Order: sequence, then structure tokens, then C-alpha cells
Amino acid sequence: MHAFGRVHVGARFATVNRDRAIPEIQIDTDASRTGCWVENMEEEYETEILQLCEEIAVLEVEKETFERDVSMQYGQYDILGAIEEDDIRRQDISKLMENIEKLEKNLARQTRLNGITLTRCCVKTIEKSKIKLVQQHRLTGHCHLCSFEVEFEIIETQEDDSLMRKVMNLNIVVDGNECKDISSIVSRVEETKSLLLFFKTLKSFCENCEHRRKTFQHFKEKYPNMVTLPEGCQSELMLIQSPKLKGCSMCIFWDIDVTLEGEIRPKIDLLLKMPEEVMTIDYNIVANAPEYFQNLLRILGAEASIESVIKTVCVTD
Amino acid sequence: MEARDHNVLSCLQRLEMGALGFQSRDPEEVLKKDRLHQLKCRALSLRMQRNQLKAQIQKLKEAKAALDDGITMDGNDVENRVNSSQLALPLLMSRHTQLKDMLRAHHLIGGYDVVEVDSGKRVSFSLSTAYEDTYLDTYHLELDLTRGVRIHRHDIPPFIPLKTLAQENLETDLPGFLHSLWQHVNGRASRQYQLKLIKEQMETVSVMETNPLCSVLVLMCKIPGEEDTAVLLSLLYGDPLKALPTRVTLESNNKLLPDEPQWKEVKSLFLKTPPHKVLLALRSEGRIM
Repeated sequence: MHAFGRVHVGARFATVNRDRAIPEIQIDTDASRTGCWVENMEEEYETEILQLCEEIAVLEVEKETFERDVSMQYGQYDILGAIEEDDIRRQDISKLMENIEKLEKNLARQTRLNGITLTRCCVKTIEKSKIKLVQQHRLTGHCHLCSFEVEFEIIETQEDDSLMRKVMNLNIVVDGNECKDISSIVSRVEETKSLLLFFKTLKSFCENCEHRRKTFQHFKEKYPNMVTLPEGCQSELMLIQSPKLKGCSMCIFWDIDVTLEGEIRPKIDLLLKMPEEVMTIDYNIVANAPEYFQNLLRILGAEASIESVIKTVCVTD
Repeated sequence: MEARDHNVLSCLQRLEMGALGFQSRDPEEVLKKDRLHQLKCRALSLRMQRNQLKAQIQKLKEAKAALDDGITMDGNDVENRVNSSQLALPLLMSRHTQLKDMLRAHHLIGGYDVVEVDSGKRVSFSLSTAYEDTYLDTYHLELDLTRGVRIHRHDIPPFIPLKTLAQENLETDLPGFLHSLWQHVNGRASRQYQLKLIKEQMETVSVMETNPLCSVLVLMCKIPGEEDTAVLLSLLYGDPLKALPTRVTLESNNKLLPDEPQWKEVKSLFLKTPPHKVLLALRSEGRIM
């Protein structure tokens, strides 16, 4: 009852609060006498609302595009630090700064837990409507010691009450010492456009490589006289040689295999090289060593097994 | 008293409507006026939103032009101070969008969307699943961090061994736990999606048996040209993490069929290639209906 303005009960005449804003639509005063004036107005407002929604959607994409352009060129700028005192007092600026700080904290959390650091993120909106969104992404970053640049397109379509999201045009470039081992899965992932699988696999693979690197490094530091890494600590080869036992050497091959379905299979093998004299006494020692080592691995795990192997050639004075 | 008030009010209302050009006091007309008022308010607020967007875009354009000209926010001279106000808001807005883009990127590449709830006492994680190029369902997990690490609530389906996985390494290795859980959930989502594709793309193939974990799939295919011959394919997914079966058995009412070399080849094909792709290939070759 009170929707049409303030009415003073008891007063002789009704006081009506007319709306101050003048509508952009012209009222046809002849038609206003009939009840269908309301319907005409409704239609006109509805049309205007639709037009405004469309216009707003276009403007939002335009605004995002400009914002992304600015970030692209000037994004490294320490924006929060550079804002003047005077400006911070403005409510809109301080609110925005607060939101930005929250988002930065959030991003740091994601980076830490996801194990993937994104250094650059270029997004371009190709198409945006109420039911469809097409965006191109180019992500640059690294996972441990492996760096990547990934380009892809995401298509999101609103279907009934659910959102369908698909990946198109996936292009991946990886770089890093260990990354030559994953080139076959990179091709397969590009073919099947398995973006999610790629990153999960990359993360597992890099974690395995990191574990291997740390383990090798640890043993090199602990037994500097006996352990050498002829191809560096990021390779799969570790050599154990005792200076006292000439001609005997043990090679640890720690392969990190990746299947086409994204499964990581680390395989550690031991190869023994003995001088002729030892071979004549006991040939089996060389033949049985690899199997013996596999048994050890099953019981003790990687580090303890390797350590016990090193200790067997640790001849003390 | 009330009835009289009611009369007074409705009388005044009629006067008001008359003043605005209405002749009728039909309740339907009253409702329509309400709706008209709502539409007007919506149109007004949308107009304001549109104008605000236009102004923001203009500021962004000016800021970019200024930055291109070499104006920065450093510098101590008055001219630059005047300019810094002009640049502040657009630069902040750009940074805001950049951060949102990066967070979305993390989500798209399978990040856990970690959110702190209740000032750090609880943390929630999202597990996105996907099969090849299609994103599937997202699952959620909320952990209570007040006394050790415990699962507070989740929407993981019951046939995923959540308790077993949690006992293994929830407290000792959270990233490891999340990864194993994701592998289980993604494996099942992938198999379920493959089944959906079979149902959509191969209507002539009947799904005889399946289970919630999608670890068993029994399909019946008819052979074209041989009316009474059918092939029963049983796919057993022994590894819950994988989207490929570990065992395939082929039966038929034609007792000689399973031993034929081409059908033995089909069996091994199912072990390496997703089932919907194999079935599509077989149909296009005319081997099944």
C-alpha cells in the first residue's frame, strides 16, 4: 500500500512523492488513459534492460582488456608501495588495496600448496556472452627446476543448470635438464588436450626429480671420496668407487619413467663392475647384485639401500 | 476503526492513481504498477553501472597513455604528484584483474583452491577432475587444523577409500594425501565419463553391468549381418586410479568367435585404448552394430 509514495492518513489530500528521475522513454499521453499504458511501459523498460545488459557485458570485456594491457606492460610495478598517502585516504582506493592484499596472500598460498609458480599469465577474452565464454591463456612458470610455457584456449558453455568447460589448442613447451624425459607425454597431452593431467604429472615428475637430486647431493656430501656424479646431480647416474678397492665400481641408475597415462614409475638399479680377479673367484657376485639391491629397496627404501651399498665398500683403515 | 482506515487508505490510493493517470482500481493493475516500479529501478541501476564502466574505461585509457609517455608514480615534482592520483586507481584495478587471472589459472591447471575458513582454524580444498579435454565434477574437502589434522566435512563419494587414505598420510604428508585422493577421485570420474560417452555415442551397445566405482563394465554388442550373434565384453578395472581396464574378457553365443584372431586383437585393444574409441572404430569398420 505504501509503494506509491507517502500518504498522510487523515489529510484531505494525498501527497504523492513523484520519482525524481526522468525516464529516458517518452510517455505517450494519449495511451496513458488506457490500462495498456502500463504494459507498454513494461515492454519499453524490458527492452532497455536487455540492451543495457548487453552493453554492460561488452563494456566489461573492454575494461578487462584494457586492464590486462596495462598489466602486461606495467605489471611488474610495485603498485601497492607507490600509492600516495592522500590517495590511500580515498575510500575506493583503500578498499581496492585491501582486496589486492587479500588476493596476493591467496595467490601465495595457492603457489605454495600447488607446487607450481606462475611468473606470467596472459589472458585474452575472445568471446563472452551469457551462455558462452572463450578465453585464450598463456602461462609461463616453473615447477622446481623445470620451466614451462603453456598456451591453451578454454571454452565454457552454460548448459541447462551446469557449466561445461573444455580445453582447446593446447601447446606446451618445457625446459629443464630432466625434461627431455617427458617429451613423449608432452606430445600425448597436446594431442588429447589433457591440461589438468599434464600439470599433475609435471608436478609428480618434478618432485621425484627433486627427491633424486637431493638424495644424490646428500650422498656426495657425506662420502665425498667415494661418490661421484659424473653427469651432475640432476642426472640419473651416481657412481660409487672406493679409492682403496681399485677396479670395483658400482653404478646407481635412478630412472624416473613417465607412462603415457601420467603415471610416475621411479626405477632404481644397481650395476656392479668388478676386476677380473674377483670375477674368477665369484662370478655370481656381479650377476646377483642387481637382484639383491631390488630386494633391499623393497625393505629399506631408496636412501637406506644406497647408503648400505656405499657402506659395503667403505673400507676403514 | 480498522475498516474505516482501510477505506480511507483505499480512497486516497484511488485519488493518487487518478492523479497519475490510472482509472482502474483493479488489484491486477496494482501488481502491474509494482512490477513497473521494479523494472524502472533495475533500468536505473543498470544505467548507472554502464556509465560507471564507461568512466572507468576512460580512466584506464588515459592512464595507459600517460604510462606510455613515460610518466610514472615515482618522482618528487608536483607535476608527477598530480599525475599519480590519475594513475592510482587504474593501476590498482589492473593489478586486481591480474591477480584474479592468476588465481583462475591455478584453478584451471588443477590447483586445490585453498581457502582459509574461520580465521585459519579450518582449511578447505577443491579437487578438480578432468578426462582429456573435458573438465568434470569438482569435489571438496574441509580440514580442521585445531588439534592435529582431521577431516571436518567433505563431499567425496562413499566408494572412495577416504578413511584409509587419511589414516595413511593425512597428518604426516598433506600434499601426498591430497594427491592420492585426487588420483582416486579423478580415476573414477574419468571412467564414469567414458561410460557416459559410450551411452551417448553408441546407442546400439547395451550396458549390461556397471557399479558406482565404475570398476566393472559389461557391454553387449551385436554383430551386423548375423542376427542372433552377440558379443559380451567384460572390462575389469583392477587399478582404481586408472582409466584403462586391467582385464578384458570376451564371450559370445557363437562359441568360435572369441578365438578368432581379430577378436583377440580387439581384446588387447581395450587394454590400451579408451573403450568409447575402440567401439567407435569397430562400428565404423562394420564389426559391430
